[in-house]
This record gives sequence, C-alpha cells and structure tokens, in this order.
Amino acid sequence: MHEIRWHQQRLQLLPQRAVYLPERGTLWIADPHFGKDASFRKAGIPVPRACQQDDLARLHDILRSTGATRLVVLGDFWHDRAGRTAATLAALADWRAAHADLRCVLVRGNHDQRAGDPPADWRIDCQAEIEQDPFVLRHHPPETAERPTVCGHLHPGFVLGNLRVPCFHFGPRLAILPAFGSFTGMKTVRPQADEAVYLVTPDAVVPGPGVVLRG
Amino acid sequence: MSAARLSRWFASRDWKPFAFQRETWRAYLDGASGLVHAPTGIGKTLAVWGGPLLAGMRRRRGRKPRKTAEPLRVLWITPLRALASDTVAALHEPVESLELPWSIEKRTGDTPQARKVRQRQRFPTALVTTPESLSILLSYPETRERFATLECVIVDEWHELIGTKRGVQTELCLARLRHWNPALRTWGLSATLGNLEEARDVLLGHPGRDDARLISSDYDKRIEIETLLPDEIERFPWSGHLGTRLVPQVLAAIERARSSLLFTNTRSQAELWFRSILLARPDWLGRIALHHGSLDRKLRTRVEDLLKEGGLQAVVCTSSLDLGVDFAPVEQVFQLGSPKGIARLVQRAGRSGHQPGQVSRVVCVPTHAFELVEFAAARAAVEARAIEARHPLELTLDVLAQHAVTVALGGGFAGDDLLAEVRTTHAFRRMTDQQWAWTLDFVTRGGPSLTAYPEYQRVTREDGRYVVASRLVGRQHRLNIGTITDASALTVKLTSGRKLGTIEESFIARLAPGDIFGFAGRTLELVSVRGQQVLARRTKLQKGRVPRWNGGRFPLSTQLADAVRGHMPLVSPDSPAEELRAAAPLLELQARWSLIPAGDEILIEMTRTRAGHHVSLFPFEGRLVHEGLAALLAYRIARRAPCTIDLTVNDYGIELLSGHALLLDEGDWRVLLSEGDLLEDLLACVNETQMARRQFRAIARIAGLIFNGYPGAPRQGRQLQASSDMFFDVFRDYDPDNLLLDQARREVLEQQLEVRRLRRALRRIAGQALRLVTTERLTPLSFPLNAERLRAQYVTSERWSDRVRRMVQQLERAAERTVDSHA
Repeated sequence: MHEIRWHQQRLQLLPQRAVYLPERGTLWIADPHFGKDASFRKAGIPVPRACQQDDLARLHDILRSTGATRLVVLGDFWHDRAGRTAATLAALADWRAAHADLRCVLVRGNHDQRAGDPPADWRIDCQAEIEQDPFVLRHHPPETAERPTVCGHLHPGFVLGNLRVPCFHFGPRLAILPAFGSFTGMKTVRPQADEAVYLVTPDAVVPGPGVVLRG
Repeated sequence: MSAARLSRWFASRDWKPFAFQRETWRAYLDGASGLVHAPTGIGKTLAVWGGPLLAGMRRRRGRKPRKTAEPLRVLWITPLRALASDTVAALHEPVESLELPWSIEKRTGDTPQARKVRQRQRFPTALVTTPESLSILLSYPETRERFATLECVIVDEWHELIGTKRGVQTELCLARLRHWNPALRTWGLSATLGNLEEARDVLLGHPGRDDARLISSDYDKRIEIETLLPDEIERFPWSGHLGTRLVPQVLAAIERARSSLLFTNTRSQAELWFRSILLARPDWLGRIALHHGSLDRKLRTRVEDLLKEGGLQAVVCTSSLDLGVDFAPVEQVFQLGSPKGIARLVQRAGRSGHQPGQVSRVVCVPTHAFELVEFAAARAAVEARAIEARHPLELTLDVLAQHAVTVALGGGFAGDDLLAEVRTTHAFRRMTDQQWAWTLDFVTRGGPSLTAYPEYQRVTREDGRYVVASRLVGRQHRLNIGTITDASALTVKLTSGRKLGTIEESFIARLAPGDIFGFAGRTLELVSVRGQQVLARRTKLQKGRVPRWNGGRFPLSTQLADAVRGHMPLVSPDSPAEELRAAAPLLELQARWSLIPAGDEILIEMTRTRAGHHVSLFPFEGRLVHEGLAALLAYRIARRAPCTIDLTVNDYGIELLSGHALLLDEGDWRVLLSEGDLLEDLLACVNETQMARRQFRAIARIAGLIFNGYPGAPRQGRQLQASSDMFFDVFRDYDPDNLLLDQARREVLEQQLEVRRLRRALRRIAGQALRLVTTERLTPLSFPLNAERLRAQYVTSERWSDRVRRMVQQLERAAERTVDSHA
C-alpha cells in the first residue's frame, strides 16, 4: 500500500490494482473485464480459467481487508457479450451474494455498452459518470480535465528496463487507474514533467520516476 | 527421345547440360527423390525442372495434342514470395520452347482471392507457392482429391528453410502429401551446407528411402575475395564508427563497375552506409538505393525492378537481397564489415557473376582492423569449403499445434493416423506419446488445465475424428497460418501519407516530436506517434539517430570463429595474405604488450585502469556464446565471494570489470571454465524468465494464441486481442506445465544462448593451455571490449565516440613510448 494525497484527499494505492479512500470507505477499481477469459475460450483460444477466479479472489480480499462499504468500478465491468457465460455469471453472482451489503456503482465503459449492464438483481447502479466530491469519476479520460477526474480505460503500464508493469498514472487533475483484470493488456505511458506514476509490483506499490505529488 | 529434345533446347541457347543436370533428370525418371546442391547461378533450377518436363514429354508421346493444360503435376515451393514471379518466368521458358501443354502459375499471399478460388477448382500443371500457401491449401478438404495427379514437390532454397520453423512447417506439409501419395517424388535445391546429407534426409522424411540421392555439381564456381586495405591501420580498433574512413575507397570502387550491391550485416548499418555515401556524393541521389527488410514492400520492389533494369549504380542492402532473383546486371558485390559466416559470404559473392562460367567476386571492406584477419580466414575457409551446417529444429510443438488444426480443418484426422504421419518427419520422429497427447489436448481442450470448460472449441471430435466445426475458428486459423513473426513494429509514414516501412517501438520510445532520425535512407523529423503509426516529415540530409532492429546481431559462425582463431598466429609482415600483412602492426603491438594466443592456448589478460580491474578472455566463439559464458563466469565468481562484475562481450571475447581485483589463479580459472553443472548454473544466472518471455512471442503467435494477421488481412475483432506477454503470465501463474512454456525455455537455451556451442567451447578450453598475462594497459584485443562497454554508458553516440577517440590517442602515445624505449 502506498498512500498519497491528491486534491486534499487521502488515497491508498493498493498493489491489488485498486484505490481505497479510507475517509469514505470507498474502493475504486477500473477495467476488470470480467468474462474475457471465457470469451477467448469460446473463440478457441485457451486462457486458463483460474485467472478470473484469481481476480475475484483478489477483489474479495481487498473488500475484506479494507472493510469498504462502497465499490466504484470505473468501466469495462464486462469484456464482451460472449463472455457472459453461465459459469462467469454464476461466479460473479456468488461474489455479489458474499458482499450483499456492499453498495456497487458501475460507471459504464465502452465494453459495457456492447456487453450490456450486469443483471439487475446484482444491485449494481449503472451510470455514465458520477461525482464524488471533489472528484469526477468516469471511464474514458476527457481531453482536458476541468475538475479532478479519475478514469480507467487506458490500462497504463510503465516500462522498467525490459519489463512492463501496471501503474497508477497521476497528473495535476487527471488520474488513471491500472486495469484490475489480470488478463488485460497495457498501454505504455511516459509521465510528463508534472505527472507521477506509481508502479504495481506483486506486493507493493512503489513511486516511479516523476514529480512528488503534493496534496 | 525427349532427353534429346531438352538437350537441343539447351543447345539452342548455346548451353550444354552439365553432368549433374543430366544425372538429376535420370534420377527423376527412375522415380527417385533427392537433394541437388550447386553454387548459385549454374542451373540448379533446370536440373530439377528437367525431370518433370521429360516425364511430361514421355507421357505425351504418341498421343494427340491436348487442348487444355495438363492437370497438376508439380508443386514448386519457394521461401520467398518475392521470388515466385521470377520462378514462374524461369520455369515457363523451356515449357514454351518445348511446346508442352503445361500451365504454370504462382500462388502466394499476394495472389488475388478470385484467382485463388479459380486455382482451387483447377490447379495449373505446376504451381509455384510458399510453405504458408501450401499449408493453407491443406486446410481445404477438397485439396486431397485435386492433388491426386501430383507427382513431384520441389523445394527451392531448402538451405534457407532448414533450421527454421518454416522448415518444420514444410516437413509437416510434405509428410501430409506423401501420406496421400507414397510414390510422390521430393526434390530439394540447396546452396552448399556443412550437413547436406542431413539436409536431404530432413527433406525426404523418415524412415529414409533407399533411392534418396544427393547430387552435386562438379562445377566449382570460382569465388574471388579481395579486401579494401586501409592506408593506415588502427591499432586500437573499435566497432561502431563504421570504418567510414574507407568511404572514399568504396566510392572509387563503386565507380569502377556498372552496378554494385553493398551488403551490410544489419539494417542500421545499411542505413548508416547509405547516408555516408550520399553525404559524400549528393550527385548520386536517385542512382543509389537502399534495401532492407523493414522498408515498405513497394519501396523494395521498386529498387529490385530498377536493379534488374540496370538503372542503379549501387544498392546498399542487408540479407534481404541474399536470395534468389537473378540480378544479372550486378557486376560487383561488397561485404561491409565482418562476413560473420562462410556460407553467408559465399552466398553474397554469388550475387555477382550470376551466370555459369562467370567468376563471383566480393570486395570486403573492414570496418574494424581485426576484420582484416576475418577476411583472410574466410578466404581460407571458402577455399577449404568449410561451410557451416544448418541444424534442423526438433519438437517445435507450436508448429505442430498449428498443423494439427490445419489438418483438422482440411477434412479431419484420426489421432493415431496423424501421429504416425507426423512421426515420419525429422522434427517429430522422436516425439513422445505424452508430447503428442498434450498437443492434441491443447488444440481440443486448450490444454489439460482447461478440461472442464465446455465453451472451449477449436478442434472438436466427431465420430472419432478430429475436425474444426466452427466456421469462425476455421476462418481465423487460415488467416494466421505460418510461422513468420514480426517484432511489434510501428509503421512509419510521411505526412504526405506515403508509407516508408516499419520501426520498432523501443527505438521510437526514445524520441520526442521534433527529433531527427534517419530511416529508409531519408532524414526525418518525428511529427507524432499515434497507435501503431509514426508520422514523420522529410528534412534536409543530416546526421541523426538511426533505428536499431532486434535480431540484427549475428554471432560469428563456428566455422569462421575457428578459422579466425587459427589465423591469429599467422599474422606477420611476411604473411602470404595481404590482409594478414596489413594487420601486422596491430598484432605486433598485441604481442609486445601481451601475447597472441596460439591455436591451443586461451588468453586471459588482466589490466588495471581508472575504471577498475579488467579481466579479458578470448575464446573467439561468437557473441552469443560469450554472453552465456560471461554470465556463467560472473555467477560462478560471485558464488565464491559476492562481488559486482560488469560484463561486456563481442565476437572475440569477454570482459569482466570489477572494483576489486578478482585474484584468480590458473587453478581457479580451470574450475570456473569447467563444464560442471552447465545447464543448472546457466539457468540460475541469466534472466531466463525475461528471455523466455521474449521467445514466447513467436510461439504464441504460431500456436494460435494471438493473431497478428498480415498486411492486408482483416484484423481480428478487438475483443479477442491479447499480447503474448499476457499469455505468458497467465500460463506461468495458472498452467505452469504448459509445454509451450517449456518450448520457450528450450529455445532460449538452444537459440539465444547456443548451449550446444557453449558446451563445445568449454570442452575445447579444457584441453587448452591457459595463458594468464598481466598487462600495463588495455591491448589491441581488449580495447574493443572496453569501448563496447562504454557505449552503454553514454546517452549519445557522439559523446561516446569522443571519449573512445581520446582513449585511443592515449594508448597510441603509450605505444609510441614503448617503441622508443625498445629502440
């Protein structure tokens, strides 16, 4: 865990690729792409099923360890319609049932628009964009952020030597979360002069090169 | 007699069939199969083409003329689709003169779809195609019936395919065709290789045939190797500044001939030489050209066409022009820098004098003083015909998985039948039942780990046969057949929209908009990078960074390395070879400050400079072996006492640099250089995961995990895009027994670390005398390693060059002083 202050808020960056706001009991994740593995298998491309089980286990863990009461998914909950197989739906329904008191919000992403909203009985509130003062939460990063904005969509990764690792990418008014799903790609980012990256390693988040953000 | 008619046709062209051509025709008519090897440009094509023509004439004898072309008789497989058109033309010539009712067509990735469909309805008498296109044909169920009249498969440039996964793919296709028709004849054409018999056996499959032939031309093509000698020899040579000092001499030599090919070893070097020549002779703009594998196909084709028309004074190129196409107007060939291998130099020399009876000449241009020794050594090896072997690959399960899907799609298979068929190939003759079972599992269920997932479907079982039921899977598979993979490359486009070629992401990542770089022989200013596209605008000719492409750095071949080692002690002012005389001052200083290792010695130099304690050793085994050996030594030294060692290698040796003296005596070195637990130690010390991850890229693509498609092919739906790294990670974490991961590790050991060669080197060293020498300064042999190490520390090559130049001056002054004191 690596805690930073951004726009006067405490943000805990978790190596499980999530952000926890301790003062609000809120957990943010982006781009889980649930069902992506199933959709690949359907097309004849073998992706071990364990990777989604692992993603769900990871989500369980951080919900338990943080005690979060609210989860915001910053888009691309689903990968595509083909991935909404019976097995995927059952696994997710179990997960939802295990956290029945958790309030869930999905800020729809481009993949969700094609794949459809999660089943209504999962009680996931689906929105195009939400506000959580002082932040705007959305899926797709805006061209210019007027207000502090938190997004997903890009799956940022940072190149370290010949290794690429997922990262949190923070600018003065725009923050991009790494993709939560483990079977997702990355887009290499090169932080500008006024930006910072925080690198996700298996058990810690470490600041990468760049400016030190001041609250 | 039809052979007489064919001979008359030869006579009409003022040619006389060579004995090896007649021998091949006879063998063919006897129903035999085999491999023909002969130097470039003396009629290999006619040797293997004559047989089917004679058989065709015999078949026609006494029969009424046919109105339509004969059905499919011959498949002609060429490794280069760019060669297909020229091959069709070459095959057509005798057919026309002999008035045979034969049609000859090509079928490659470039052939229009409508024509492909028409060909599948009715094939031409001879079909010129590539291994990939042949595989695609095998994926159509009706192909078996349409191939019923096929009597022969000819594989051209087999030396290019053997040793690659395309070679394995070809083996599997041939096994399929022979399974359909056991009487099918297989003929291969090859340049000279060190393992021709093996090459033939791989082509013909296992078990071998009694009538397998190996036919060589008795004609010995004369190859002349000459070297442009520098006026002044550098006693402290370092690579990287390109020997551009020799540009004036190269320019003068280019002017001597009507047209020249200038071969470099890497694409970057080709770019740099092209620019140097153009900077020296701006008036040659338009008369010289650049050709390498990362340039856009249209640009390359234009250069090839101009070259054939005789419209170019010179082309700077890489191995992209090593093969095929008869560039008759090429009068002379240059090798810029180390030849790296004997076969390569012979092949390149053969691009000139590409006619029977003509001498092939190659002018060697040293870019580094030690290359003088390489050229002399290469000449001796060429004369002794010490040509490298190319070892066939084995147990490449990625290729097998792809082939199994191809066969399932092309009418399906019963498991045991395909297993028996696949085991007739050299590549899979030793495949275990477990490996086969895993491969079948992989294509049917995604691997043992996915057993319980019914949504998976690629190959399915119907009535005991393995088939592809899904049309989507079938379509995708056909689009991705093949084993050629490109590194993730970005397309470079001019602001006008014109495509120039491709560049690797790692290079572009270091540039910012506005930066100047050289590419495609032009000086460009980076405008923007968007997605997979680099937008650039032309600017006036100047120096700028030039991209590097991965895979460009060939190691010195075993044969050449052996020859170089043997030639080092021969360097003297009285040597018969002028290169060795020219290199004498360099080795004279080496002998004075250290020593020149004899053939049965290995030299270890220890030197202290401001940078630290240098230990340099010189096995002369080529860069890849040295990389593995350096990592191994550092690991073994650190195991004795922890320390930090900086490693640098080149084709000749290894430098270990440390802050403290390593204090190793001869006994210690013996242990460090022993074979010991080679594999275990090697895997412990190299970043094997990182290397395997890189190696896995091609495997993932071939095994059908990721889809690159190819230019012009429709891209896969976005929802199914994934990178090989993603697969590598999920397999490593969730399916660690996946045999494709195992294959990636094997390929790292065999190809990236050349473990076989490393082992051989360690065994050789064990029998050699160790000569430990403490030197006062860096020597001509160790200095290049030092320069190489510094390169990594400098951001710009200009500052690095300045630094190295200053060091050379200091050493030269010291060399003068020691001469004075001797005097």
